[in-house]
Amino acid sequence: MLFNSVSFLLFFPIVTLIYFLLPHRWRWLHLLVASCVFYMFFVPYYIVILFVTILIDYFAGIWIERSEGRKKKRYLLFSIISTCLVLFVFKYYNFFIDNFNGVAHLIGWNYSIEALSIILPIGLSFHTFQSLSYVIEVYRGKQKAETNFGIYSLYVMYYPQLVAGPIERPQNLLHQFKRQNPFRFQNFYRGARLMLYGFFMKLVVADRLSIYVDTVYTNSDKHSGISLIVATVFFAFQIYCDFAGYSAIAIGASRIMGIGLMTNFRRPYLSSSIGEFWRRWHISLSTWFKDYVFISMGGSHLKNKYKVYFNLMVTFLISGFWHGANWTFVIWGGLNGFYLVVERALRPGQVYTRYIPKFLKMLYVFVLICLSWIFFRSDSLTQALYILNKIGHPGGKLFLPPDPEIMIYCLLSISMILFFEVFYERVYARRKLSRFYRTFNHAFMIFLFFIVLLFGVFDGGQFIYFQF
Amino acid sequence: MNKEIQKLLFFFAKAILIVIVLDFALGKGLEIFYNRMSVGEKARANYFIRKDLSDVIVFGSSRALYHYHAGVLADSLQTTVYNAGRSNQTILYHLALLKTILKRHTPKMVILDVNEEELVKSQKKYELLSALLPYCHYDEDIRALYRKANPGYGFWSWSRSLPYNSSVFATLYRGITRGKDNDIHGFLNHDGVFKDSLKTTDNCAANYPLDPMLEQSFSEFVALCKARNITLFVSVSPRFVQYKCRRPEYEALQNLAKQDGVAIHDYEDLYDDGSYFSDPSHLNSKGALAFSKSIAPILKASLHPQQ
Repeated sequence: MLFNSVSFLLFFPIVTLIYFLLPHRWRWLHLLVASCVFYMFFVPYYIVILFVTILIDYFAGIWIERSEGRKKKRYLLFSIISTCLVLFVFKYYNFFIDNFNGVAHLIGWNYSIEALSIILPIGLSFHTFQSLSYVIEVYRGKQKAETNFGIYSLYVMYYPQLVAGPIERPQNLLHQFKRQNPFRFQNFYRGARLMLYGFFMKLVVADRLSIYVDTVYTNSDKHSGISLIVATVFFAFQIYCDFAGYSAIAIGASRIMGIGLMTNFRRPYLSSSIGEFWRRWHISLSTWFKDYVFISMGGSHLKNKYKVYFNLMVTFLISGFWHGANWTFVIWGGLNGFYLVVERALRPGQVYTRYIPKFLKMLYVFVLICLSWIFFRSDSLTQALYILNKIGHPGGKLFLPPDPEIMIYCLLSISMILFFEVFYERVYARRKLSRFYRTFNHAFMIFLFFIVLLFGVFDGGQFIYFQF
Repeated sequence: MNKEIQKLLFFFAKAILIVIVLDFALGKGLEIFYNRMSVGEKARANYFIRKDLSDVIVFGSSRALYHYHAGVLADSLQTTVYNAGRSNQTILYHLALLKTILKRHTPKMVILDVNEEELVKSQKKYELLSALLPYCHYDEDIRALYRKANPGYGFWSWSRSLPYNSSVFATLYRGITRGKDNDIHGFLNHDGVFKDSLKTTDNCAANYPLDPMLEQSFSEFVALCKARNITLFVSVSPRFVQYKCRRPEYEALQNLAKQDGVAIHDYEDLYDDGSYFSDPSHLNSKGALAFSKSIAPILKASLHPQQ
């Protein structure tokens, strides 16, 4: 079920209403059933795969807690391998087979392995990582193993964040399913506002920009360098608003039920360094990789700085591969890792930090990130390199859609999101509106509602991150 | 009652009231500008739906809009002709328009331009029907047809401003500025000359699923014309593509037309001269003039069989 579908507009209020009408002891069961229904809207029988991973990690968690030493480690490895195996079969098997066949063909070996004709279960990478974080935290002794199978299942399946995160940690989520959650108007108000902002990001900005981006990128050979530059900039905002919009709706929906989810985005395009960008972008995934991959390899406290750089590169390459089984994603991850390594190695001096205006720093970060988005958006490495080459020689005519209004809406939506982000960071978050806080919030909600109504794209566009 | 619930109910009451009032005011304001438009496809649709009384009406997509020269046809048929073709629209849109104008007057003849993919299922065909939204509040038939194609409409049909979604600027701009459309009774000249050579298509294997709703709408369109004694002329206008074979979708359309008792006049291969076309699917002004002149006597014979 998509958040931007009519079914969700019915599903969400009904589930929330029943949630608050039920006595506390039945609520987790209600949420679990609702989450199953939500997931089964996509491909119903894929819930079996989810069930298998839940079952493995549930028992693994208990066994890890009850054992010591080598046995404990063995259970952890068993859990990690079996959970990742499911991900491998569905997401990466065909990638490796394709590459194997390609290499075999290259060396003239007349042997090929058949690829599997399977569809990737929606959100598999997300709930795999959420399951992994549970067993690792139990292993590290930071989380007690959950003995209630239903509540553990709900931790993996909780519908607002089931298919595209935020990827939660057990310490933050599990206990919330057990605590009393009376209805609070403030939770409702803040949650509803967040959901509305999420819908604005998705329907007004992301889905509008996707019209231009898809047209240009699917026929990149027919478009000029300048059109590809514009499409890439638009894609930078599209992917941000698509994913941050999803996260905002997820966090808002959960907030209404009194269950807090972690912040996933903090206005990343206002970052003045690549490091800062990654502290603001897809926070739940970045911290996951930091906690379970980068730090496990020694983190940034290693004495050998080259080892730190190597660890950074490895973390980002894995992060790229997590996004998709395609070399374009690996390069995207590698490129971002490379940016970070260079940034660390050069250590910006006083001139840069003091005298360069923040706006220019933000622009520099934005340009570098846009370059990496070309790999993320392209279907193949060949296409990405072709686009980069064309962008290197800008010129030609800018592609304008047959309906000039589309371009006006694209520019307007980017202006609005930029204005809101700067306003939030500079004014709202600094509590400069204390006197008008309530009035401003009411007015902003009404404004957002009508912007979505008048400028939203209601064609049920998929969320980009669902494919991961 | 719980204080928190009280706050929620109070919030909902306030929010609903504000939304309804603002939505109505915005919708009404945009409607005024929408009805004042004098240039563009929306203005032409507005005129046709609300005022036109022509005896001969052309329905179809952009291929109808650019191919049937209303001036040439009017001179030849010695009657009034209006070209109500609209880019990307399908039989669903044409049926809605026919139903609406029949409430006002009965034309003598209807020309329906179809293409071979007319009955092929596509979600986009339903989405493009949003062009009818500004009329949904006033016309029962349009509303019923739109709701049939987009069942979700029931949830937000209350909104007065949603019909103007994604057309706010065009509505305001065209509603404020005055101008004169360069159409000839709805017909528009398409400029340009297609430079490439004639392409041969052999996509015989393509077999797209048909849409029962489109089939039903086509049959309803034919039945409505018959019931009102309107001469219906269904045609496929020229294209600059040579087909090695006929695709199954086109066969299905022909069978359906046969079943409904109407002939499809196929002019798809009429011209193999690129200078008549602006692109493979559209005639340019020279082509439209030639095509309209060549079908005018046939239309005349259909309209006045006794002469």
